[in-house]
Amino acid sequence: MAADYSLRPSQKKVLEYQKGLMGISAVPGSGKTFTLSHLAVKLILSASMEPEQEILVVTFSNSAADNFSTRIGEKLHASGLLEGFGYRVRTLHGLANDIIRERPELVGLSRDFNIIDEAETNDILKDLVAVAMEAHYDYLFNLISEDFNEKKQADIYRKEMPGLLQNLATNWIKTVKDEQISLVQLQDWLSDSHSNPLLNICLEIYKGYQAALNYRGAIDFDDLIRYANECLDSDVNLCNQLQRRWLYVLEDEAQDSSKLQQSILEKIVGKNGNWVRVGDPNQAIYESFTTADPNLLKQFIAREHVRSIDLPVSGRSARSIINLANSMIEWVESEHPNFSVRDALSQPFIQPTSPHDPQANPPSLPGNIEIAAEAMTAEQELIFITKRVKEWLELNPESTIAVLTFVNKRASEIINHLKAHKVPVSDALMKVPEETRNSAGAISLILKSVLDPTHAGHLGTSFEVFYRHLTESDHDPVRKGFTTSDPGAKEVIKATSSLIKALKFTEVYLYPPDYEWKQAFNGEELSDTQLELLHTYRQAVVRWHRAAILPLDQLILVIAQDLVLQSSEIALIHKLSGLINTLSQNNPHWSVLDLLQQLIDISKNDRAFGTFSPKNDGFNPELYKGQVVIATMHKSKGLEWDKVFLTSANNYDYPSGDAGDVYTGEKWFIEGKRNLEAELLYDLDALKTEKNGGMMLRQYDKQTARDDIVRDRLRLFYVGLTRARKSLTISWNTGRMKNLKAALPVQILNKRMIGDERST
Amino acid sequence: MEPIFIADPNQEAIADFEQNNSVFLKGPASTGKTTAAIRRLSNIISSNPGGISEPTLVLVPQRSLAAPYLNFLNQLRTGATDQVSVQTMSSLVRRMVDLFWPLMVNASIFKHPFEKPRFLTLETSQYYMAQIVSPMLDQGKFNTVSLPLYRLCSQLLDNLNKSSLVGFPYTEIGSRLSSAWIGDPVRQNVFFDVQEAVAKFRQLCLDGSLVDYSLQVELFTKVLWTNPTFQKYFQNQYRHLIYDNSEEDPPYVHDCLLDWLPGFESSLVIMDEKAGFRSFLGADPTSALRFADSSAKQFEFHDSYVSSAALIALRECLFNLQYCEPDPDVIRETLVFPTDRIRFFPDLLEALIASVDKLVGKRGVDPSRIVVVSPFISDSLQFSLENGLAERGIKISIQNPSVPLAQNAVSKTLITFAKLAHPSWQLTCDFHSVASSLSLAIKDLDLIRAHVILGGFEKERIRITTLGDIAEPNERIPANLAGQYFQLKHWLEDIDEDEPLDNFFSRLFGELLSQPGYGFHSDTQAGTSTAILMESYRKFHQALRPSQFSSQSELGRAFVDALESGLIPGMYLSEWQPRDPDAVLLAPVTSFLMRNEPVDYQFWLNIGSKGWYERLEQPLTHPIVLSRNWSIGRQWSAEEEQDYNLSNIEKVVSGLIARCREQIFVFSSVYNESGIEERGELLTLFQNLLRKSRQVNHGS
Repeated sequence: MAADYSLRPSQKKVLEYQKGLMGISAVPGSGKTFTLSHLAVKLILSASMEPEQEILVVTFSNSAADNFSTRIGEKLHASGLLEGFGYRVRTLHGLANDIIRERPELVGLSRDFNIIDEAETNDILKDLVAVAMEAHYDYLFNLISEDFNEKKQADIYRKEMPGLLQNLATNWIKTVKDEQISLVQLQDWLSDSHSNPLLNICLEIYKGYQAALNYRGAIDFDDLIRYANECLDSDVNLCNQLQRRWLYVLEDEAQDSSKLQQSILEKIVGKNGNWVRVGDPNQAIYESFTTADPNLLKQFIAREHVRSIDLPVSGRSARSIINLANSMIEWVESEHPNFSVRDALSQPFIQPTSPHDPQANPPSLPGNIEIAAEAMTAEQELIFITKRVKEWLELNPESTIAVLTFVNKRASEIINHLKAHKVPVSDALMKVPEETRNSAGAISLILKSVLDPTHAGHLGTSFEVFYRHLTESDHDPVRKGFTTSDPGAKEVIKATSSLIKALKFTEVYLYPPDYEWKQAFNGEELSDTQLELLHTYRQAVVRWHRAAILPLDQLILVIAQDLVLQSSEIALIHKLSGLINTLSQNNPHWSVLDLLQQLIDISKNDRAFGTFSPKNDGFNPELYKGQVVIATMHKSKGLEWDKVFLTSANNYDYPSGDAGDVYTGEKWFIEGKRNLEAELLYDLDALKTEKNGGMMLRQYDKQTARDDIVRDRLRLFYVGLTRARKSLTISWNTGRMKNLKAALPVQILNKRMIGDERST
Repeated sequence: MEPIFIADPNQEAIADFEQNNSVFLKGPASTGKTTAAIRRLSNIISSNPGGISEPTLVLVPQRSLAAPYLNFLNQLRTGATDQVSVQTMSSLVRRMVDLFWPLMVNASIFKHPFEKPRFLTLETSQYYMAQIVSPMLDQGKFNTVSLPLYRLCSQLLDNLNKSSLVGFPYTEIGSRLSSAWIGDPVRQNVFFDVQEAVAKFRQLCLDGSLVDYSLQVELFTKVLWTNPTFQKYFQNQYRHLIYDNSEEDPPYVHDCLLDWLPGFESSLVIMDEKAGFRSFLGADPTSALRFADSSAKQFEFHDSYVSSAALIALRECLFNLQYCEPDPDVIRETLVFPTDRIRFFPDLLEALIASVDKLVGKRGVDPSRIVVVSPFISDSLQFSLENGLAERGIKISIQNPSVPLAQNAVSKTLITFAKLAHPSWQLTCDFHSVASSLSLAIKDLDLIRAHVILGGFEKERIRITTLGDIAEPNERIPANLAGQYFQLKHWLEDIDEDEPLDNFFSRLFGELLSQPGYGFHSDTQAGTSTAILMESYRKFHQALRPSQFSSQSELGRAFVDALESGLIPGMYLSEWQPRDPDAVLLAPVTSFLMRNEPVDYQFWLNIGSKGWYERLEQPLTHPIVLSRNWSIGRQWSAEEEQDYNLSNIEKVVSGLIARCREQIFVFSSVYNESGIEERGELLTLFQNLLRKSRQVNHGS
């Protein structure tokens, strides 16, 4: 391979790696994915591998895995080699799936086991929680604060308690699985214990949950990890085979690995194996409850036989933004008022590039960082963001721009506000991407018209869906079926749809007894285009009606065949059909309407649905130039934009330990605002320690849980601000009760920035 | 009678049953073994004065393999073949156990020896097993495995079957499985549960005179086969034996035949090399090899009558890549790959359809000379391919061994009407099911009018009492449709709920739905589906103890419950169902291999899938550990798994190439139907072949 002059010296040092263990501590924007994919290609080209051997690249998210695959594939292609061979890119869950599928029987599974998604997990737990709420009414009711009157308490029990209990059970089950504590062990431990009754309630829910999974022949995402580990522990030959197959393991975002995940990789690597771990403990942020711990990476890098390399130079951001990020590290490390959280961020500082660096920093233009220090209401913040976004887009129409929030709900509010003000928005990074929701929506609208065929309104709407390709410019209108060059296609379709919707009886159009279907629209002047549209649509609907006896998943495929779709959309619809098939097998008592509701929920973003990335190479901000990408901070990990807005940065989302700060685990309606989750996990830990013959050295204290949240939010804020290349705007709002303050880092950074400006 | 074309002297030697009266013949597929055997059969038939055959048994492991013999016999004049019996061992066993039931009386096996036996089908066995397993599940048994009830039951029954087919006591099932276990010891306890369940099931059978498949085989091998009366009757029945594809049968069949062989005047035992595709059903090629020593003469055929020289060269090279330099011309001539890397499965289907269309449309290839094989045929694959090819005017014939009864449109309709007609079952019907069933059952009744008749979509659940009445035809429902609906509704209301359910189905079909004006009129497929449903019910009925249910109605409800819960899973197509001669065949790999039917062009789908070679891994059973070739106490680890997979992949690929004349089209997509990226060994094998061929090409 020709020398790659686009690499900077620290990156080239990584490429000198040949074998053994290496730990790389990389700052944001230091090009770790870029360097790691170069390393993968170098190893594929230079290492002497047998045909069946591979480089295994492990990363954290599906889109990161796609990015890696694309980069490695392109580089191999450029070297004249076949893409797709000699390497395998997997998320940790994907890897675990591969491992289990080697020997599923070792963990009590058939080869075709199901993996249920988060939505189905929630559905199962919801039912079990309802049972537990009945069975343990007295105990659970007494947890509610006596500050409320009886009526309010009853109201809270009905409205708030199910969500809280479900959350407690979910996170407790995750922990139990991650700790690899078996159900039998738990039952044994708790049979003679007089500990926290919540432990027993969670155990009951856990038992029911596992039984529900067994009955479905299914496992959840947490089982994937623990079962993969069990397979490796059970069969040493399997371990040896995998060690042979994966000659090198390259791990990206290693700060996100849990102890168990690290243990899986350790087993695959083996005693004298080759393992490169890249990560940044400062970017250890987690979207949902996790047992991951950034200290694990730090400890790995500090090991005796691990070659340690830093990638401290970053060309991503303008120097002023780098200074801001470094300033935050410095403040947290040395000045954060809460001493316990000073380890949340640690050095190395980000170093800007040297003048001739191949990936040099963008220039720092005056005013490229704005911290809106003044208090704004939530509504005012929306107006502020929209104004600033418009201003930026006007001046930089070809740039990339993102608005980042802490929670999905706020992101939706921002999307709606921007859309209302005609700002082009992309929500491709949201819970369910727009493309998926559109596909699910399109199919569910058509299904509605098939399942309720007398409804002229549904039939008319379905007509518009059927011809949506003619009104959407990014679809190829000449794939199959009808095409039109009519410039007013949208109007024609709308007008024709209105005619259908106005039908008194739908059968006069679809199944006229003794006259031509055109007479159903008697009195209307129909153009040739309309006649053709109606004719083609009618044929399709009759076909769908005939297929209505088929199971819903197959009916979906019948419908899909009549729609003009791009290949990724077809693939999506096949996947939706697969989901419906699994759901109907798992829930034989569900009616077609129940199944249809699942599609509607996906289309409305009420149900999560794992899918392919919308574009073929994972999420690439460059493909969204001129559009505002709205995302949560968590989803922004690994990505960068020219302009970034960090929003809602108040002490609700980013508590720091000040009086009045709010902590998500401490529910307002629980007596004494106890953090039940933290208590429950502490009790589990204590129980485990005691049963293993040890002694719990620390006492439960609420502050520990608070500190964990503060640390997490500090890192989250740091990740958010290091997403920006050229310009950054930070804003906050006073919240629903109009009593919130700016988050402490916002106040500090603002002061420091003002100080810097004065000193210059 | 058509003359049988004999190509070489070796085949002639096999055909000479007088000279070579005891022969063992082996060789790869498509080397003319069956052709030689048919010639031998022809000689046997014509050797007898009057051209009437001497009693001859042609034994094959499954009905699809009997086709060449049956086709040959069908060409002969009536009477000549009366004494030629083409059988599978399992059908013989079933018949003999039934016929010689009185011999069991003295054997003191059953609790009530004078009670008539009730033979269980797979479905009814599952039903009974579920009665045993369900309470065990409630007690927390089997909690370390994640399996739906019907899968759990089928694996337990599989274990019982293996014990009798292989010939070890069923009381050893749990210990054998446990001794091969390499995983967490906590999980090992599940094999106690397995043993408990199979023992309870066997006891249930012995107490209730129920005979499942495993018991049939055990009664045959242990009671009948050792009984002198039976031996005298049975072994004198036939004078000649032709036993084809012996490698696909389990060891008990070989045991019996080895015992029986000296009694035949002539015998020919044929074995395919690199086969044994039915190992999940106990097929044991190693055991079949024993016939070599028990036969006076041994023959081996090597030369293929089917594959082109290039295909043979390809096969040789694929499995010796280390030592072989793949000839790029051979690869070009035999293999076709899509030009671009395919990412999604639907794109793969599109590319496949275009390729088939090109072969048929442009090159004029007869569709019957094409097969599309995949490890599994999903509904969506079947549906998409059927429709995509139909759009291009190409028919497809699907060889899927089973179709879920509960999903078949005709049986769904009949079951929906049965639920409506039996209010005492207290089962409601989905509005959508009733509407679509009505639309299917009444000719010209479209889905919209079916909804109009039912009167409102908001009514989610339907009972007979909530079915709307149409007193007068109105502007929306013409008189003829109103009349038919009225007739159907009243027919359903008027039935006697205690009428046996098969009668109900029969009458509903015969008296109403097959009559003019109704949807199944002149529809033979609907007739077949109805017959299968009735048969399924009858077997269910026969297998149950009369005391279990107080009425026919209750029994009918139990059947519907079992059907809808998946305990009666499959609707089995007749194995001898002829393939549409004008259609492309779509089949799972194993089913195609077991048809023994060469084609010109093969399309291999999803070559990234591990389903091409992996055994159906199931946590509660194990075809190898429970086979005769496994040393008890040895552990089954990933190494054994890998060896098994490698030998299987060679078997399957060799078998397919041996059944191909011209070209193989190889398809895979990065993401499979479920969106998962697959990297199976077959994909790696082709990658290595191409890589090596490129090296050779560049080198030259």
